[in-house]
Amino acid sequence: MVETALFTMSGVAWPEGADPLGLWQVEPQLERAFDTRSAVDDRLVWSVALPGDHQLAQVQIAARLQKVTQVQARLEDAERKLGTLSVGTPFAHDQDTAAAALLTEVLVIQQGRTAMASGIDPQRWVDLYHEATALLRQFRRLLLYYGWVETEIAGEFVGLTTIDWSSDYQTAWQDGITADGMRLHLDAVRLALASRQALDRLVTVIVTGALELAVKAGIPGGHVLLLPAVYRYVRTILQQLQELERVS
Amino acid sequence: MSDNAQDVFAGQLVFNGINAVTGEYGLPPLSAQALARLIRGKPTPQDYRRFMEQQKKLAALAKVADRLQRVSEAEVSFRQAAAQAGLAELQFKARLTHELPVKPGAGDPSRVEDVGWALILPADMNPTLREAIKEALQPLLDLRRQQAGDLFRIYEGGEAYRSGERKDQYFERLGVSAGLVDPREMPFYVLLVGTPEEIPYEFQYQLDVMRAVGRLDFGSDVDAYADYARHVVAAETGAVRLRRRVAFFAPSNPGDRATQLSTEYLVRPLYQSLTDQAPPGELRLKYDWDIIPPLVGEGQATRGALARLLGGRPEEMPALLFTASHGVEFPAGHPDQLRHQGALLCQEWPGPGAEVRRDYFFAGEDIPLDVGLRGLIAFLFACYGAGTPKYDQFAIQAFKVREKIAPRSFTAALPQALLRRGALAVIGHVERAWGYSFVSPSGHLENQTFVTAMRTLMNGDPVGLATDASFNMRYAALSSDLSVDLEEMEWNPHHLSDYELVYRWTANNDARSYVVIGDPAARIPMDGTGFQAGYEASLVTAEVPVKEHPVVPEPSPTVLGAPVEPEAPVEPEVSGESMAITAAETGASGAPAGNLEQEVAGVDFGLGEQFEKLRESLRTFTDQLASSLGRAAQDITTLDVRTYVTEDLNAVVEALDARHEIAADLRAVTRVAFDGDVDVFVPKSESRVDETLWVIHKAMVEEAQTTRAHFLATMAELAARLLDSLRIGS
Repeated sequence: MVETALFTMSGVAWPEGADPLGLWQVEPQLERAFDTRSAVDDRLVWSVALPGDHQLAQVQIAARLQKVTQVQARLEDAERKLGTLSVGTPFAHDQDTAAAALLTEVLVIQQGRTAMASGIDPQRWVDLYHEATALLRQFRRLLLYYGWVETEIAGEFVGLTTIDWSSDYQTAWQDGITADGMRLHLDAVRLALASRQALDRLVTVIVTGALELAVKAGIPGGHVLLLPAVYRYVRTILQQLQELERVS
Repeated sequence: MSDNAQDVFAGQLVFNGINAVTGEYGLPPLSAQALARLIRGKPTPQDYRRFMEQQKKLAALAKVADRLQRVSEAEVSFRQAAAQAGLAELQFKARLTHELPVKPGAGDPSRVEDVGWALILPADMNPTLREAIKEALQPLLDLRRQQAGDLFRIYEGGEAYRSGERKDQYFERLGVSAGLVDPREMPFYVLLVGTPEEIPYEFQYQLDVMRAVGRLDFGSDVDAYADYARHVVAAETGAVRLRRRVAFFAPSNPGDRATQLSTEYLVRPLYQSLTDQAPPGELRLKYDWDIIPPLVGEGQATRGALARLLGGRPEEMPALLFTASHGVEFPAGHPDQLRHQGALLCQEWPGPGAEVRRDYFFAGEDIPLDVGLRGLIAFLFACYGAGTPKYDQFAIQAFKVREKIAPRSFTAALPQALLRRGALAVIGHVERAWGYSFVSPSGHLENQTFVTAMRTLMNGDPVGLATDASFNMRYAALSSDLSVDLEEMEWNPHHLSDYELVYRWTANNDARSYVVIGDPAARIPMDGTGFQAGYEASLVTAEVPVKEHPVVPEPSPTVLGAPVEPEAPVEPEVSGESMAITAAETGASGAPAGNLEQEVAGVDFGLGEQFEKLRESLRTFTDQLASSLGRAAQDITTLDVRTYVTEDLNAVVEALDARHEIAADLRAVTRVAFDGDVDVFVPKSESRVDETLWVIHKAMVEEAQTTRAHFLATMAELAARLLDSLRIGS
């Protein structure tokens, strides 16, 4: 029986195995090749397991929703910072470590691109390529599939909502569910969708940030290779938010 | 050939499938008399008791909801109608006196240029996925369009296959005539794309009677479709040339009559026949082939030997591989069923009753990711070697019950793995393979179908044609005869002996269920044939390289004897030790093994090339986004919100998994039209609407409206920025 709510998602494999937004626990993905017809493949599943105490459950979901709002604000922050980065001064005093790391990466790609990788470890390029393609793959999954939200209260599966691409909703309730239980599932749906919107926003910020940096650095086409570095940068900013939470 | 072939049918009959959990035959051994009773649909109480005991045993191994369902009279009538509809065409085919399956004047059936090529898509496939798959297959579609010209078709939209349709219904809707193929109405070569849940095996069998049909099913792995398309194009534009070498692999497990039978009556005679270039009455081989003596039995047909044949080393890899073995099977819902069912049981298995260790069978995951099998065509004679239907056909016929043998119909993982690594096609069996089909009770070898299929392939003809002239023709003849025989036996029980009935029935089932996985127009790309080069080499957009790291997953020696934790939709209370799926077994590394990653590791390092590949990836991503948005725009004329109540939410999940209608009470539907009109539907029978449910339903409607608005805005913004990035980046 859970006392603390569990928020779990599956269907996307982020590079470091964790939700970059820090909102959900990510279930590892199994190799798809051996279960290719599974409709499970076609889902981004958001599972919320809540305690039996409805009031406590409601408080925990509300807290998580608030965190989504903070994450969205932090994403705006990251986008603004990305827009103001000046390429060519990677070690300026007024820049933080995350920005320095990103700009160093820009420099490496810039030099590698112009010098055709002379003096740069080829493995580094292979790794970069892998990272970029893995990210694109996950972005694509986010686009192809929409949402599936499951709610458990005190270990009982009580509500399921599927949302498809055209935003049609289907909700199935376990017979006998209480009004409070229904409201909790509705809150879980709102939380999942808010998180999804934040993920969409994350993709937009990363793609735009990489594009702008590539233009500034004069590396046409290099924006794709910059995706992982920008992703790391944004993630660091979001992690700072989590650090702040721990401290406060 | 045995002096007394009736020995084959005497005593207990055994079948070509081994339950990997029990080590026993998937279908318990039966006498010819008992099997004949079941075929006639007249089981004795003892037969029925025995069947139920087997069911109890299976239920204890892995439980699945609704394992047995009594077949209703309505379903019996439906099946009879369906069989009747198909029978007319089978009888027609059986009467064909000339070899051409196409109308006179249509041309040479081995040439796509003459008889056309078509793709059939399922109507209920996720539209985004469908578009992504079409895009991935584009190089193949371009090639076939170039070859077939006006005889190239894609059946989608209003012409897509609709769930539940029989072939005759589909043809009627499309205005296609039954009988000899007129390629102008529907091309001869037909590739189905989708799972057997989306386009059922029954439809494939029916369509296959007169046409050359194949199936591609990589689920939602769009990259696999793209790789496959490139492999076929590479093979047909001269980028791949294989030495003409055919290999045979045939375990003969101790004390196991099924594999002894397939070795002695199928593989050895088949090998002998192929060593003769022009035997009387058989198709002449046009080319010299290196026909490697079969790897048979002890010390030969080992798992290691098969791994070497499929190891991708040019000096060991055949262009054509024939295997005959048990396929492993699992109780419905077993966690390993989807990835291991139909895997080939090798010589290491000690025989009936012995545990089936993981290192006794060869599965799709046993082929390393870095192996290149470009150009290969494989023929796998094994139970479930090509796929598994959800329901067992045998139980319906014998006991008038539907036995669920899998949570859903699926394509086997081994042929999928072969195609992912460059193989062009696999011929395999759906359901159980019946070894008694290649020897008649009077002692005649009946392996002509196999001989014809192999010779056709070795002559460089398309794989779909190879099965048409062999198995499809045999199915037509046997089915036509069997229906008459069974009718006659209603009046005269002695019309056929039990042996003859068993032989005809198993042969009929056997011939029906061979299917092609892959493009039916694919053919072995070998040296020295009149291969139609001359198609634009530019169609080969990218050669698919392979990974450098030779990671060969070592199979775990785990014993599969213990009851295991079943997968959904299995009831949760099954006790016993659960078996972990390790990364080594699955080849999983946390993220799906991707071909994009394989591409980079296999090419000489070149920065410009990598940039181009990445840009291409981004372009694909953007295109998909744009087309999805386009479709979303078409779909947003209405917004539907549905609310159900059910006694069993897990059953709803199961139904959604299987893409079935959900069995729950629909309590409210709200449809919001684009112009703002709102329609609300509530059940007629309810005296009053449940207020609480109604409040929540309305809240869901508001949520849906917000979601749609946000979603479209976000996607439009993302698409715009991506398009910008491509413009600047290029």
